[in-house]
Amino acid sequence: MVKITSSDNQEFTISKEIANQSVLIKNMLEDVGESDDQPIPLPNVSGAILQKVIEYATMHKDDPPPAPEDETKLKTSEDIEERDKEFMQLDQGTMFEIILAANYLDMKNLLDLGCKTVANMIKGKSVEEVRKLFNIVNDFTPEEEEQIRKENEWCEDR
Amino acid sequence: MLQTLPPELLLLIVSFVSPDTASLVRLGATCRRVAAFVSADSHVWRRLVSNLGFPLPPSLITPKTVAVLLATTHCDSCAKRTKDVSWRLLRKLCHKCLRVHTQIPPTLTRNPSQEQPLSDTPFNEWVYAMVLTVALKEREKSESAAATKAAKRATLITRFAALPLSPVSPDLSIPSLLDQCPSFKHIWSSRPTNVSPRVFSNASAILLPQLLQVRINAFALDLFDTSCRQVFAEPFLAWMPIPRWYTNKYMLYLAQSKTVFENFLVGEVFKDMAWNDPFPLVDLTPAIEKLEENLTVPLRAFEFQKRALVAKYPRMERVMMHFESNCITLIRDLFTEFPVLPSPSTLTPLPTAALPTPDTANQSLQTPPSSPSRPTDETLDLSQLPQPTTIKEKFETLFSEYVIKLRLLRLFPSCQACWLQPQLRNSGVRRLYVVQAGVIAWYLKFPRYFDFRDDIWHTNYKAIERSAHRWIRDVVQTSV
Repeated sequence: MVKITSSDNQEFTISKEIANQSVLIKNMLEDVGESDDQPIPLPNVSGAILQKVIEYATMHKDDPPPAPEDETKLKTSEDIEERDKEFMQLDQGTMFEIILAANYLDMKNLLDLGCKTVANMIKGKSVEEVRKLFNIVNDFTPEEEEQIRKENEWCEDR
Repeated sequence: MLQTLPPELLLLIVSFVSPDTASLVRLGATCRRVAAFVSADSHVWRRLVSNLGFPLPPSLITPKTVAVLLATTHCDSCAKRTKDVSWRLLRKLCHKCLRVHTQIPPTLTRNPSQEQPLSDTPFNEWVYAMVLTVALKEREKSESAAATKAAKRATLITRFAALPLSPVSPDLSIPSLLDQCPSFKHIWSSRPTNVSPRVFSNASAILLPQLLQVRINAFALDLFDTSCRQVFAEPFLAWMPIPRWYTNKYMLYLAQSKTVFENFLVGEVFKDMAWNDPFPLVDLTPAIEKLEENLTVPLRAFEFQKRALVAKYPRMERVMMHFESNCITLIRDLFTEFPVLPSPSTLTPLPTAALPTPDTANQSLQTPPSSPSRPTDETLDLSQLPQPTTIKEKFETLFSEYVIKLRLLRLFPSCQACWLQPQLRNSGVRRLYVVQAGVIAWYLKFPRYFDFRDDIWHTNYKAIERSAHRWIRDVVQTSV
């Protein structure tokens, strides 16, 4: 078993196969050795988010290791499993926290899942809808905005 | 929070949006920071174009331009929906607008000496590669659609074959039954989709009633053929082999009879059947009676006219016997000449006993049959047959023409092809006319030989034959 501690000092004990889904923890375990039972500190991840990450890792503990990524291949956000869709039904703040945690813990599958979910939220929406959804402040000047509007006219007829 | 994500994460999200060009373009219009990741020269566009299988453009053209041209659906000029792109002009233009935009104004004249050779510039090579790629992709798409449609057809056939359908006959397989359903081809060929349970359910709702109709039609046709053979027993069968009659008109007549037969079966026998019910045992007696009623009209008309003619000209019987084997053509001609075929629904069967004897036929020819004073139990109701006065005259004319034709052919069997004979070959068409004119002249000289009312043909045939051959030989030798 492996002990991990969140930024708010919550301690979690997880099996090694769950821990190994994070490349960061896996590397740390290899560095410190099997015998050390000191908890591994994860200062960039809160307890609540770590709890969700462990939930995801437990759900996927029996999955085969991810295939090496083909950088030239076009990515798609359409291939999300149903259980993952359910898992990602979270508020936006938690979702981005999970993306950041997955990036920090180096969990490729979770990171991709988070980014695909965000991408799916963006797809098919107008500029204004995307801004509103993610609370994005429009920092273009009116002239720039007009120029962009003209350039993008072709895709505004939805 | 999206715009505050680290660049590598923002880039990852953008890359997941990227197959959807329009969404990617709109995302780039939200704020400056996100726009930087979706700029025209961003590698996101490069990867998108590359992954779509198109060649990357030369340096002066951004991959975003290419991606946007591939994604847009309407003509830049007239807003009409189009797939066409002018890669040389880097514009989406429909075929019509492209012609307008590529026309050289008549005021400009080309000076070939000032033109640069374009074929080896990177831009021209890229344009050529784009056109080629688009064409190849179109072909791949069309082949893939055709394959999907074929798979859809095969799946539908398999699924229908698995249904509990009672077979019509071993000759009729499910594919052949389905192919005869009017909507089947439309269902599998209209859209290249997979056969989901919903698609199959919709297809079943349309095709099952049609399958029943096809089965009934096939069954009715089978019964029709069987019944025809029963109706057309000897000797009529030898005269008019069914179902291959000769004229279109007769085929229409046959089709009309078939429809009457099918309507009878569908209306009387199969009206309450479910699509996959086994066919019941059918008592064909009423159906065969109806068929007999309809299909023997031509024969009865012919027999009637023949008897009338024989009654009028007793020598006719011998002439008739002489030409018995050619009567099929005579009946065919009779049908061609009939102004209107009698409607099967208005006809009643003509009992053999009611056919006119030579005496009654003679009487019927002397008195106009349309007269209402005639019909009795003993005589024929002629008003139900095609107008007898017209037919009588036509039949007599036809018959006399027929006798002339057959006798001339017998005397001069090769007159139609004599110009092919070696000794006549050199003079070609002129000789043909001479021979034909000679035959006609000989006929006009001795019309009596061809009058079916006269017996001279039978009593002096050898002398007639010698005379004809001598005549034609003299004509050819003196005229050609």
